[in-house]
Amino acid sequence: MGIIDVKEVSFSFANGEGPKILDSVSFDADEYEFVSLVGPSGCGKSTLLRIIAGLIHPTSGSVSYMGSTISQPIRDISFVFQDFALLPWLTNVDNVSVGLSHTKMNEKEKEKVSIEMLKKLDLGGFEYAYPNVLSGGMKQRVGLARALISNPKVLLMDEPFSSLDELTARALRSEVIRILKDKAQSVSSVIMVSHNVEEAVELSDKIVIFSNKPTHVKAIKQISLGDNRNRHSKEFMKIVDETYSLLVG
Amino acid sequence: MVGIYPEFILLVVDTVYSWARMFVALFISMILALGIGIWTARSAVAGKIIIPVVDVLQTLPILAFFPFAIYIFVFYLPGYIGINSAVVFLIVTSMLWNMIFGVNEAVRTIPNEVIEMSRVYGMSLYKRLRMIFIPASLSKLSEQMSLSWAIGLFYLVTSEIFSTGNAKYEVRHGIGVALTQLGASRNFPAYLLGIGVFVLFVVVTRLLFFNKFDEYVNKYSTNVYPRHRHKLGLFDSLHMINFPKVEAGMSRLKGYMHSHRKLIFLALGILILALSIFLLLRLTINSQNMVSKVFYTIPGYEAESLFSLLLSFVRIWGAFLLILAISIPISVYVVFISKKKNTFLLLFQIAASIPATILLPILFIASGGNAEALAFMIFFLSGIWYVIFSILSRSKYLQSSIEDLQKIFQIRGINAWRYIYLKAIGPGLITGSITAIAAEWNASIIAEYFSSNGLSTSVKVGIGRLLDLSLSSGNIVLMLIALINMVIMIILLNTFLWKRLYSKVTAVYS
Ligand SMILES: Nc1ncnc2c1ncn2[C@@H]1O[C@H](COP(=O)(O)OP(=O)(O)OP(=O)(O)O)[C@@H](O)[C@H]1O
Ligand SMILES: [Mg+2]
Repeated sequence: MGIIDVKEVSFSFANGEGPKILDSVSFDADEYEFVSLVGPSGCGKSTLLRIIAGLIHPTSGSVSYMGSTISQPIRDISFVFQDFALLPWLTNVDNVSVGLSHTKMNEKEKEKVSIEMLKKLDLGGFEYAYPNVLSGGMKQRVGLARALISNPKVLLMDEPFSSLDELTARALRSEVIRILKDKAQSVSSVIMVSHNVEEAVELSDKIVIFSNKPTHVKAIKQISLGDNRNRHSKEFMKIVDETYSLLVG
Repeated sequence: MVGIYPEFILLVVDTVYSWARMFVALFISMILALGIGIWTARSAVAGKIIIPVVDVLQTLPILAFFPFAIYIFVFYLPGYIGINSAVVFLIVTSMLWNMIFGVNEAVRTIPNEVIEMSRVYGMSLYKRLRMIFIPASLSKLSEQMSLSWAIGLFYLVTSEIFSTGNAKYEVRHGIGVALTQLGASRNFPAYLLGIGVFVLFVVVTRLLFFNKFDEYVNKYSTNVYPRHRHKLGLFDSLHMINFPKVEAGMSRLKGYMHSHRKLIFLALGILILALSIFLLLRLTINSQNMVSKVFYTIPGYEAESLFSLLLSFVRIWGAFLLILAISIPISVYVVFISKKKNTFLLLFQIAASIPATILLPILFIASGGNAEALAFMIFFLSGIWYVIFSILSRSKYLQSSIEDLQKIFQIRGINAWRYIYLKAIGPGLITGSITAIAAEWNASIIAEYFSSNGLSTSVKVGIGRLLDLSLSSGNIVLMLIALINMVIMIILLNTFLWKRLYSKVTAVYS
């Protein structure tokens, strides 16, 4: 049994009346596992991630966290958005402390922890600026800080790097790897939606590959590369090729 | 109930009269907007001078100039024609400004190749207008026209009601007149029927005229070059009136206030100077010895104007505070909490399509004849919809992820208000407030003083009352001084309060 168990999840919009978007999707994410979801555009990856987050409910099947069914968002599961979803009218510190809304901390404490978190993500000096002065990469760091500050066990990320240019994305991926390795932080499992196979191979322990119309799990590929993956190594490229052929085949 | 049927016919006839005024004004506004809009877009100098002036004009409560306009028009064109010209003129001043901006923007965004093409083929001015500028403007013009229509209705009804009860200046036929008389004579079944007829006309005009015109124009102009637009719904934009234009004006003004500050004050200076010269001319024509008398009384008039302005200010801002207290929770509920946003929108739009001033007879009874309470209610009702609709219309620019964000991070209760609701409505709240307060000042000529047989109300002191009384006593000097004081106050508030607030709030949006 994984930390997150997706069991035969099917989904249609319009209260189950619409066309089937997801068809009996099953996979799990174990402790200390980084799982990527890849598949054709529009196949329902974001929808699936929103179901896992408890934002919408599956038409049938279920998603459970440590054995109990998820029916609404819970504190242990946090989320990073593709378009950052920062609130433009809040300073960066306040945007991060939004992630502490459910805690009993007072404002001073929230501010203190949020500043620390921003510093960890290399955003020292921008605490009291507003998101509009940040570059895309910096905005996503704020998004990450907000997601991590409540010490979640599970981190869900919906194409977190796809709004960024490739250089920025690369830097931020290394940053994410660094943070997740940090023993002090709480995240044990990550589920990330991606449309970039290289990215998925670089970050993941396991890649879930979807096919379209209606979307079902086509293959689950374990990635047994160690830490410090080199994108140009033979093994890396071999796995990328294998994943591509699973995806299109 | 025997009496209702002929009443109905009469009400329809009266509404037709009112609508005739509206359409004449709309037609004049279209011609002027096309002319001025195209000219200011194509001539850099004209654009630099006229556009900032138009920007200032559109935030002024021009309806307060109605007594003055009536005086001038009836002076030169006595009787029925003069008074109707005054009404049409007033409606034009409510419709014109945003239409000019629409045309100006449309012409400015014509692709350069098209202009160059017209040069290459040596097109005449007439041909360029007919084949390029006007077709390219029509879509924007149509969009702005339906906004203009809604605010024009308020001006129409209010100016009609204003004229009621003053034999010399009475409009005679018009739904505003009819409703006020029915209300004053306590014929409430007919009065309510009249409001029904009014709302019916609003709906039918939108369906049969604006929607059709919009469809036609867009078929026509998408051939020129494609653009994105949203379809106008039945009540869409009905009372969405000024804030898209104020909003656009605000961001334009942010620029102008830096680069053209002097120009704006120059334009205002010229306006005030022109009014003063006119005033002096009128006096010297009338009689020589009045000049000295007037200069003797001007300080007294000024004091009276300022005092009236102060009391009206207190009423209007008092009503405005109540508007805030009610409209903020309602808007937040509809935007963020309610699942039935569209139902609320439709209800609000129907309610808002009834100009507050038309409710005078009912409010008169509701207030128990207390003039202060009556004025307060009219101010309140004149302003509240602007704030609500401004916030609602602005909310469509909010990120759709806010709801997800709230659920994921469990942002509830006081945190939701602090981090999201109050901040998110900021820009809409400000533009809505400016238009709401302008609408309140507009309503002051009815709210603070009204007298017709059977129905009269008067506060002790107030700018609306002062304007009304100076008209009926023919004291044009006092009226002008009162107007100039009001205009200066509003421009100062817009510049030093609202614009700063708006810049501050919107600075964080990239
Ligand atoms: N609210 C909705 N109502 C109806 N259909 C929807 C809704 N949201 C998404 N869809 C449809 O569901 C399907 C899956 O959408 P989803 O966003 O989950 O796909 P995705 O795999 O994340 O796509 P992308 O790669 O573009 O991010 C799409 O066909 C989309 O059009
Ligand atoms: Mg997606």
